[in-house]
Amino acid sequence: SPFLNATFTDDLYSLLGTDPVKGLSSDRANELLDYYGPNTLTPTTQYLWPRLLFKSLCTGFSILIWLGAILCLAAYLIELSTKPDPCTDNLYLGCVLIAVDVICGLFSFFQNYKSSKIMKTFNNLIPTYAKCTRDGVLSTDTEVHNLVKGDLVNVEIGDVIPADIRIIESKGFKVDNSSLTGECVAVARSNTEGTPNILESPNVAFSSALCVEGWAKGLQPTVTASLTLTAKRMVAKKCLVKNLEAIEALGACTTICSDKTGTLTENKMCVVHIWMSDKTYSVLDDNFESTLRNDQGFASLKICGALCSNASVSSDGVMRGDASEKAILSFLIKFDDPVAIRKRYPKIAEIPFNSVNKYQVSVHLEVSSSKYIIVMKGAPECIVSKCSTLIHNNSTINMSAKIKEAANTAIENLANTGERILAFADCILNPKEFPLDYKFDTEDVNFPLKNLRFLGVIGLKDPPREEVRYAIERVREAGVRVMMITGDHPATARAVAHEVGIGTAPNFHVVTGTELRNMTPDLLYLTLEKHYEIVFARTSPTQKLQIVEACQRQGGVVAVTGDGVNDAPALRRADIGISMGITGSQVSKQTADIILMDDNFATIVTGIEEGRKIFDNLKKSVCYILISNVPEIIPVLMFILFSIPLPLGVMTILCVDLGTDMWPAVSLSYEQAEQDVMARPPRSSDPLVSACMLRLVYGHLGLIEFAAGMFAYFIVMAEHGFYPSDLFGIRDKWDNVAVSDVEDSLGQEWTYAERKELERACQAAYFVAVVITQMMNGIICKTRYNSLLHVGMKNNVLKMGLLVELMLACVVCYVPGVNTFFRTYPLRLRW
Amino acid sequence: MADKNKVAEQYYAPPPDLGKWEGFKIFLWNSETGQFLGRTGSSWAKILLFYLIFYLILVGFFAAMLTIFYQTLDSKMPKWQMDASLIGNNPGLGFRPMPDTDAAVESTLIYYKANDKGSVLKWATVIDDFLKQYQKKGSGSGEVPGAENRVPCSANSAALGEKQVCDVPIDDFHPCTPANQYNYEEAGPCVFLKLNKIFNWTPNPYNNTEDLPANMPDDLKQHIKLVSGKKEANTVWVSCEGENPADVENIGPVQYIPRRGFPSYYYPFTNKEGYLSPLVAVLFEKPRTGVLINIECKAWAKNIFYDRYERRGSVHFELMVDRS
Repeated sequence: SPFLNATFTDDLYSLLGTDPVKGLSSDRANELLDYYGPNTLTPTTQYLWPRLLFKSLCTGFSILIWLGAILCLAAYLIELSTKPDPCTDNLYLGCVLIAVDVICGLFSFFQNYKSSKIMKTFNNLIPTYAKCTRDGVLSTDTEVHNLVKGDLVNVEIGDVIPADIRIIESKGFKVDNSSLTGECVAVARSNTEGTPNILESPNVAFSSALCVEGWAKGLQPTVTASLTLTAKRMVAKKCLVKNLEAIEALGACTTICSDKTGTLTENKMCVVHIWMSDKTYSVLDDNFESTLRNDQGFASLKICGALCSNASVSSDGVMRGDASEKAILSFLIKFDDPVAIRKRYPKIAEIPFNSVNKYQVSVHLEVSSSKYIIVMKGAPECIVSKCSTLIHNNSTINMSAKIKEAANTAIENLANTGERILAFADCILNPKEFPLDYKFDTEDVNFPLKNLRFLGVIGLKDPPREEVRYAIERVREAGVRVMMITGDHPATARAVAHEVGIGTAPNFHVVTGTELRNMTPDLLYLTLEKHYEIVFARTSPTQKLQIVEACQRQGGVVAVTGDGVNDAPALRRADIGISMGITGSQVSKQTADIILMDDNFATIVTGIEEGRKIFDNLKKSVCYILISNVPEIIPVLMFILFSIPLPLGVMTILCVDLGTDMWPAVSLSYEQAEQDVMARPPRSSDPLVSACMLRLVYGHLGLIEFAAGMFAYFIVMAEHGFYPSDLFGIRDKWDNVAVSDVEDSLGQEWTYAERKELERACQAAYFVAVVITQMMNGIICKTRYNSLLHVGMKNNVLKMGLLVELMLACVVCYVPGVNTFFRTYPLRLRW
Repeated sequence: MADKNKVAEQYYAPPPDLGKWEGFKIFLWNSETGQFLGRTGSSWAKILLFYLIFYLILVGFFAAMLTIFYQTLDSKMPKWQMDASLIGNNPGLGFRPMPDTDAAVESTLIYYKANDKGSVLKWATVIDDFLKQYQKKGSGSGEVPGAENRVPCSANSAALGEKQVCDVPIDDFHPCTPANQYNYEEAGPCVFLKLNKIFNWTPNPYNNTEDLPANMPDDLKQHIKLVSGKKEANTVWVSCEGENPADVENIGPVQYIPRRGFPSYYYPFTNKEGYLSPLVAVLFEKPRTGVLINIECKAWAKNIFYDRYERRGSVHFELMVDRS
């Protein structure tokens, strides 16, 4: 690819037939797409559906069934060739087994097929939108595989580079090439001269490399959020489950490590307080506007706020950008037009915010007076240290130690209420020192960043979501521990935690990142053990990972929410990674198992409830199915040990297992969640089939069912003259086709055909008894903890299931042909 | 340093890693908690007590329900009779001697060597056992309760008393008598036929020559003609024939002893004490030796329907006599 290394971008444009501003025309893009094919890697080989079908037909248990069926048919064929009137039992059995196998196989095949299809759509949905400019219009939802050579692509922090791109314009752009090179150090990438080695060429960013720091600007300087389409698709649940097991794991989850911003709070910063010179003003005050109308300091602050922000306002009033910047902007827009301010002060140079500097600086030209002005925004402690003067009562005074202290207390006070504090400072540069043609260099700073004029402090707050408090209450009732892990100030964290109910005790434990750094893993473990309510503040991504690991060492099932790129390791490490659909970066979404489309913590609660419900219902179904094993197995044992005529034939067993039991068992999974599902502690190492359940199933319910079946069997037998006491040991004569006169307890003599008819009738009675008790058991299994009266019969699917079970039983018994097939007999009512 | 040690003391100690056998030993008997098989003694006692009570109640309930159900039954009379019962009202036939049924061999073959005493004795014993219940009152050890109720009956005898039942005089069955070893030694074996007992079933016999079914053997038709109109004609007739043409050839002459059927006066069967099912001894006088003969015996009455496949109103057996 010669153009990748082309030094001059102009050559590049002509080479690609593209325009640096407008991008490709969509016609040309389509042409190229047709010519080169979609921008995808060769997909991993996927099983074709016949192979899938074959696989689902011939796995594990079904192979046994096939063998059984083949044996049956073979036996039938042998019998056919040797005996004049072969017994059709084997033929029937073989056919039934094959039918069972095929039906089960098809069922699982369709399930697999469906879920793989769903997964495919997921794959199509999640990471695959690039911001791309065509026809001069930036579209945020160009699908990645539709990108073609020559497209202009915008990449922001956290984005996955959608294709191999040549960087044309960038700001502090670094990529993580670890997936390609294995190096974990982010590599700076910009529009510089290329090197012969493409991999090392600093002007190329490879697809799938992560853009981890800074923001890169392709050709269009618009910042937008995407992934609205996915939101539309999953609006109903607001919870996109990528990894289907995750929802089940969520039910078992014991600890939630929640992010603060966006999850617990609305991620809509708004300005609540302003501190200037010596006074704190509350924005919510009614006379706030009038008090500050003619304040010089406030005017400067407004200008500084408007300039020191990358958030933009589009013509329709929609703001784009970082949350706090948006908040400041929407605050300013009430007093002034920031767009107009920006026009008056065009931007000359900029050092973007990063976590090392903790400030951002830009240089602007005041058009009216032809002076340069430096505006700075950042963490208050950092800004205060850089300031030497202060604007006070419309005049600039020196910053004395006393004022500094006052400022610091004010800042501290504001921070304690959980506000995010941003300080602003400016400096009007001397036009003699910095003439109009002065070249500002942001890499090698050649303008003052000290001795600035302190303007004031803005206190921003991200109000907690309304639902969160209730949601956390519910989660805690459910025995799930909620921890907050945030990068914010400890005071902010504490305030929010208190507000949403993560910390209810007045002095709950707050661990800061610095403290955490000095902790051994064991000490962290102990801390987690000691303090139930715990909040981590000022933590780094690695520490987040550390916390998650510590929680898991406690044996917990940990759910982690996160939206940033740096959360990805923690999300992956967690048992359930939850990403945010709106604010989440693409990387976090790719790593996560679950994506909350509304970024709302309350949705997690629904998820937990759903997960527990699913597990509960699964347990119910398993329980239900297991119960009928007992009355199926014991009769055969009785038949062998006590030599009674067989109470339940093979056909009827199959009939119970695969016919009548099927629907109710499935319908149990449609069961509503039990009311106390959220009031129980999370299940810890509670397997699907526990010893306790087996005891209940086999020891109690199964035996009751068996007793009911035997009772029905004995009744039919006794009413026809075979009293139970005479049944034991009768088998040899009973099943001997040669014996045409078996005497019952009352002296009557039965021919073989008559006996077999009676046996069928008994089996039918047994079968019906089992079906009826199974119906009862279905109702019993419906609830695990709640009483039935409490829950009521609201599950229509189950009701239908029970009805169908009954009907199926009737069909099996009464429809001629079917009953001979299943060896049952029309039971007469009067029996 | 001291601080570090403090931290070390707080270390969480994972449970010691035990080998499989060690773990099992602890599972068997945990001296720390006094647990045996993972439960303490009181826990075991509680759970055992619970299950004991639970199963006692279950068994008790089961038994109680069965007892209640038994109250609805009569010890002498089936609850459902004839058509209402699955036994229907179409009796089948049984034959003796039957091959050993306990061996679960589904065979109906009577095979013996006429000049082998052991072989003959084997079949004779089977018949002896069967006929034990037919032995007369006071005939010794084999007497069954209710034998005193038996009175000799004939077509002309008066109605029976409430407890009386008709006797089956097996001593008149010559040559099919125990003393003669049922003629097995003569290579002309006797096979006893009996009609299955069905409670309250009474035959509707072919007692005259009208309406005789077309498939009735000619010799039986002749016989009915002979007795037509007489009281003896009230009989469930019996015929034995070879199943296939070859069998018909091989079967040889057949005698029915003491008469050609089951007289009506034995019916209905009402489970009176001492009741005997009437017998017909079929004497195959000279069956061809060394071949297997398929024989089918049918019972003939207007209310007995015949179906070879379901063995309704008939019985099938094979006979093979060897003389080496």
